[in-house]
This record gives sequence, structure tokens and C-alpha cells, in this order.
Amino acid sequence: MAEECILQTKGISKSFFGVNVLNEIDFSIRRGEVHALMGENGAGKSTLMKIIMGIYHADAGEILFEGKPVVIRETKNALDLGISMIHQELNPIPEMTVAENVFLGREPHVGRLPIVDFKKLNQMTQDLLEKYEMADRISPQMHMSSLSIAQIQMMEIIKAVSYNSKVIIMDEPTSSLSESETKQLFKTIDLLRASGVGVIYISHRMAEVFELSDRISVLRDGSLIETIDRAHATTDHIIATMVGRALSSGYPRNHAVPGEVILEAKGVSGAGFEDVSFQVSAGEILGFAGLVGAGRSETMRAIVGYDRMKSGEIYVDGRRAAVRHPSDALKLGIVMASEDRKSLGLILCRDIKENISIQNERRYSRFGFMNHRQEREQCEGIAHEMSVKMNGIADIAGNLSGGNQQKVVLAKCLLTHPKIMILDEPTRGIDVGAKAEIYKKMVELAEGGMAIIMISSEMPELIGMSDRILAMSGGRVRAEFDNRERQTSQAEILRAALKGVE
Amino acid sequence: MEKTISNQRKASNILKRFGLLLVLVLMVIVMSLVSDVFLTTGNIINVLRQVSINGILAVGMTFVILTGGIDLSVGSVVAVTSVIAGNLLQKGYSLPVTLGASIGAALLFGVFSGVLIAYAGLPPFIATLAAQTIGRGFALVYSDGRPYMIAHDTYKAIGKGSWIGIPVPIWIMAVVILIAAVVLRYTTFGRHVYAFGGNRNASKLSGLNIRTTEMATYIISSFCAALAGTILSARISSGQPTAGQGYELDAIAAVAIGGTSMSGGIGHLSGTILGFIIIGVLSNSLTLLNVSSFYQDIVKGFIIIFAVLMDLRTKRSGN
Repeated sequence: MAEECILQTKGISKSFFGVNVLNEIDFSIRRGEVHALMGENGAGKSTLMKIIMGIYHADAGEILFEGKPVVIRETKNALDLGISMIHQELNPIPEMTVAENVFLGREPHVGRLPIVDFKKLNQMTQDLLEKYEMADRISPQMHMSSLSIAQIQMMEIIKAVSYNSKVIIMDEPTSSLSESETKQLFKTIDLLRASGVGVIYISHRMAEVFELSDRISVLRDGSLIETIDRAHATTDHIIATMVGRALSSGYPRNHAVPGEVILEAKGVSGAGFEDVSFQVSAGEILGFAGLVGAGRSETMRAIVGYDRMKSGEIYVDGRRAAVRHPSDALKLGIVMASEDRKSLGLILCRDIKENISIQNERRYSRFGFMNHRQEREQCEGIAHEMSVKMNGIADIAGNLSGGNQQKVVLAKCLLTHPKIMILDEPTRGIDVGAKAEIYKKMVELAEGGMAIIMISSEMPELIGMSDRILAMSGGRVRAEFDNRERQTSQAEILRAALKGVE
Repeated sequence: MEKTISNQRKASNILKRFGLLLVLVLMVIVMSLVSDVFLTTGNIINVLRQVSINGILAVGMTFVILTGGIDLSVGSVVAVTSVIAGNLLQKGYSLPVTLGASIGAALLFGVFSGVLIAYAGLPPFIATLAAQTIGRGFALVYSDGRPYMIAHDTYKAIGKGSWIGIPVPIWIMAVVILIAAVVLRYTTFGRHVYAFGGNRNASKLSGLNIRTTEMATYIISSFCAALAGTILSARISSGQPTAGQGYELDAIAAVAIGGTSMSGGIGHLSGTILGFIIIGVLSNSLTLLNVSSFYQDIVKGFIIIFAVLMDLRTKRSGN
């Protein structure tokens, strides 16, 4: 039993600022197994993985690799042992080719000369790609900058196996993948499993975890609550373990009766989208379906004035509106929470209060001077309303978990009291508990008369939440579905979302 | 429990700022032991007057660096202000006209850099480097390379006069610091500067006019350079085309020592103040100890490295 474990942690504990983040974690990964690691944001998953990768150091406990205690001081030690991690945010060097990235720092040389043997380099990469059946989708000489997120991920996996990795950690690998790309990834994971690699799979997506994993471990508040075989697990049981309480599954129902049309776009075009028209009414949740790159985010960014719109018209409350800058949109009551929290949503190095207040300063400033007391009260109020978990609004945004960051983004949008709120992938990368809270809030807002536009790549969420669904592909709207009965079929939407693509 | 965390954080913040203060206090203690001139009122006022020019430049530079930019043109703007003022005073123009023209010309340089950076998308380093050489060249062409003697008494008082025993340059510096502190802390513009430096894209999506914000910081920096140029020319009673050479580096050094992040978004005016006072006390001390000014530069370099290393360490342990 013990010898089939490649990697084991024993009694790993870690605390930051006197707060226990991990409590005596005993975790193991066997040869040729996919071990799913689940837990709410902030449960300690990333911290545990960072300790295994040598980015953080445990306060107590030990790590055994193939039965022997090892010391992992830095990432290099982990890589040398054969442990790699595919991060949620991938950072390749865009000017280089796939092969150059895979063997970065380990390039084969021509004889003993300091000259890279490109022929051999490409051949080595090609061999790996063929072994893992990726050769039809990615080739050694492709430039990183031309690759899709899925292809970059493949490159990262090839890179990991090129280190002869025995353990590969994947952090939310499917969060930016389309369904066909996800299938391809699962095939690769099966091949890894077959060749004896242990995969630690971090994900919030229940269906994937059940499809893929051999064992499931659940972390909650820094403790490993349980590790069970997939065969013995049920979704409800896992969710209950994760949140420590029973959670109503499914989606809350929007009971609002759609009112007047608030926002109408007529034939808007710009970079990445063509001739997009739609309407959204007060109290309505309008879903946008499509694959990554369908032009949904681009359309919305142009509507709020972040990107240029080449042609087309926007009407707010029936009146023609000129939106040249996000500040114009704000005045009209249109606000957008971007899918990209790090680059468009938050100012990570500043605190929660400033992040919320930056979009709302006219509420508590006069002649350019801030009223600090009002600012604090309002920001604190909305942060509590969104139940952001924090020590206080002086917490730095970058130190919050993903779900909490998302709540701060929503808080700053909500404080503007918008009439139209555009949510781009509002639940990406966040845990089930926070997801449920966000769904509830969306329905509450719609029932209060707000028009909500939601872009989502998760079909069940889209079907569960939207009153109407528009499917986009190739920058155009391909179909519209009435979804009041929440019964649109995934296949139908997918067919529309694939139009003109494959 | 939660209280202790935030208290601990507060403690580490205070320590971070006190770290710099500690360096200063140590310097003062050591100097007061080895020199009996150092802690006299005369010498303290002397130090403050000496730092006033760099202090004013560093305040302007703080705004620019908080946006993640840099302003290499301030030294040249000092020279531009100084030759224009010298020439107009020689020709007999009144003080308001002179100041209006010299400071106005300096502001044009700020607008120039600001437009290139915020609207044309040039990197701040390049745009202000260009402004630096253009400014220096302009000052030399304008004056034909010769200094203008200044005889105007009121103008000279800006650099040499004093009020209730304290030299005018120190008063000007104090007012500049006060206004900057209020702007950064109490105005929406101050928030925009921090927000822009932290994440310009998120700031734009939040509805901020990021171009005006960025441009404004270069105009502020140029305005501070104009004040510095006025004080300098008044103090030496001459408008010099070669004045202010290398001043930008001292100003940047003060901001860096003060712990402002070079990538923007993080920093405090209080740090900058400690930064330029430390630089001033250092030169004063070395002069009192009869160390040649050549060595002073070497020591200053090491102090910058030391201060920024300390800063990196406290930040890392904070994570």
C-alpha cells in the first residue's frame, strides 16, 4: 500500500499571520491515479500545492517521495524529483516556439558547442506530442503567441512529462477550455494515468471530477476532511463535505416579469464581432452562449465603451445613447464585471475599499474631494452585503481568494446602482458556495428590476439561470432561445455555437 | 483573533515606514556624537534649505512614479525656467509676467511629455528622455549658452530671503508637500493616480479617464520643476542653461528610497519626504566630515541599494 504511493504528505501545517491555513494534512497520490482535490476557495488547496512545489514552506510535517522523506526548498527541487504543476494562469514565452518553451533551459546542443540543435529539439518535442496523441493539434514549430489556451496547456503538459514527471498537478485546467478541448485534455490525462503518472486534479466542476478521478479528497478550512474512492462518492455528499452544510443544489428561479426593454443593440460591429443585435428588458436575465473566442466579451466591452465600436447603435430606455468611454456607460447605468478579474476587474495591489470606491467616487465626493467616512461606510456596507470574507475593507485585493475577488468586483459594480449589469463568466474559478450566493444575488437583482446580461461557457449554468439565451459564434449571433421554462437543450445551443466554426 | 491579525499587519506597516525613519535617526545620533555643529539650528535650517529643491522635485516625481512612469526631464525643465526668467528680468519685465512665462514654458514641457505618453503611447522613459534633451538644447539655444545675471531683488528673495527666520525655499517646499499630501489623500484625483498605477485597464473599465490622469502627473512634475528652477536661479542670482543637470536622478532616488514601487500603485508621500531628507542629511554629514563630494555620490548609490533592499525584504516577509 505504502510503496504504491509516489507522493505523501504527513502532518503538513502552515499558518500566515497567525491564521492556520493548513492543519496536519495527510495526503497521498498513487502511481497511475487521478486524485481530485476539492474545496471552497480559501480551503487551502493552492497552499498545499504550493508547499509541494516548494513555493511555500510548511511550518510542520514532512513530505515523502517514493517512500523517502524529501526536502523541497524551491520549485527546482520539486521538478528534479519529478513533480510538476500546470498553473491556472499559464505563462509561456510568447516569442518562442512550442519546442523552445518545452525544453527551455535544457536545449540539446550541437556536439559540445553552445549552439542549439534545433533539429533534435523539434524531433524530441514531436516524439512527445505523438506519444500523447497531440500531434494533430499542435506542432513543435508553432509560435506560442499563435496558440489557443488549450494548445498552451498541451505544451505545458508535454513540458511536464519531458521532465519525467511522476506527479503532475493541474489547477483548474478546464476553466478556459471549450467542451471539445476538455475532451481532448481528458484523453491526455488517461494516457498519463496509463503510463503511471499520478495526477492531482484541482477543480470545482463536479461532473469532471466524477468522470475523471479515482479518488477524491475534500479540504475545508485548512483540514483534509476526507479522502474517498470515486465509486463510493456522490455529488451531494461531496458538496455537503465541502461546505460543511447542506446546500440546495440547482438554480434559484427568477420570478420577475420582464418589463420594458432597457437596452437595445442594433447591428453593432467591432473587432471580433459583426452585426450583433439584441434587446434586454428590466427584470430579465439574458444569457450569451458560445465558445471561447465567439466574440461575446468583445461585444460587451464595446457596449460599455471599453473598446471601440465600428458601427451600430445602442438604445437605452428607447433613447439613442453615445457610449465612447466606460464613464458614459456608467452614467447611463450600464456596468460590466469582466471575466478577467486580474487584468480588468481589480487593482490587486490596493485594498478592498479603494477597489470598490474607484467606480463609485461620485457618490461620496464633492468638487473632487473625497468624504472618507461616507466612502468607508458605503464600501463596508456593500462588501458585507456581498458577504466578502475579509478581516476588513483594508485587506489587499490581491490576497483574497478567487471567489472573494469576484464578490468585490460585483460589489463595486452593484454600488453604482446600475440598471443594466453585464456579467462575464461571473462564476469562473470560484467554489460552489460562492456560486450559489452569486446566483441568488442575480435573481434578487433581476426581481428588483435590473436587466442582467450573463456570458457563460458553462451550459448548465446558462440554462439554469437565463430567461433567454443568445448563441454566438464567429462574432455573430446565430440563434435565440426562449428559456423561460429552463428547458433548452444543451445540444441545440451547442449546435448554434458551433455554426461557422467547424 | 481578527483584531490581532490586523494589528500585526499595522505593526509591520509601521515598522516598514519606521525602518526608514530608523535609518535617519541613526544617522542623526551618530552625527550629533561626532560633530558638535550638526544639531545646531543653523545647520538644520541649512540642511532643509539644501534639500528644498530636490524635495520639491521628488514630490512631483512621486506622482509620476505612482503611475508606474518616470520623468527624466525635470533637470532640463529647471534650466528652461531659469534662463527664461533670467532673460525676461534682464529685459525689465515685471515679476508676474516673468514668472508666468517661465513657469508656463515649464508646464508646456509637462504637456508635451504627457501627450506623448498618454495619447501617443510612448514609454515614459523614452518620452521624457526626449523632453530632457530637447529642454536642455532649448535652454542653450535660447541663452546662446551664456548665463543671465539676475538683479531683481524681489525675485532673488525667493531663493535667498527668509520669513520668521526660515528661508523662503523651505516655506515653498512645505506648501508643496502639504498640497501634494492633501491631493493624494483627500481628492479623487489622488485615488486615480494610485488606481492607474495599480491597474490601468481596470481603472478604465471603472470609468476613469486614464489619459488625463496620466498626463496630469507629468504636468505636476513639470510644475514642481518650474518651482525648483525659480528657487535655484533666484538663489544663485543667475539664469543658467546648464542648471539642474542630473537633478532628475536625485529626485528619483528620493522616491525609490521612500519605498514607492517603481511599477506604480504603491507608495506614500511620507516615504519620499524621508527619502530626500536622508539624502540631504547624508551629504551634509559627509561635508561636515570633510569627505569629498566625489565620495558622496558613491555613498549615495549604496544607500539607495540598501534602502530598496530593505524595502523588498519587508515586503517579502509581509507576504
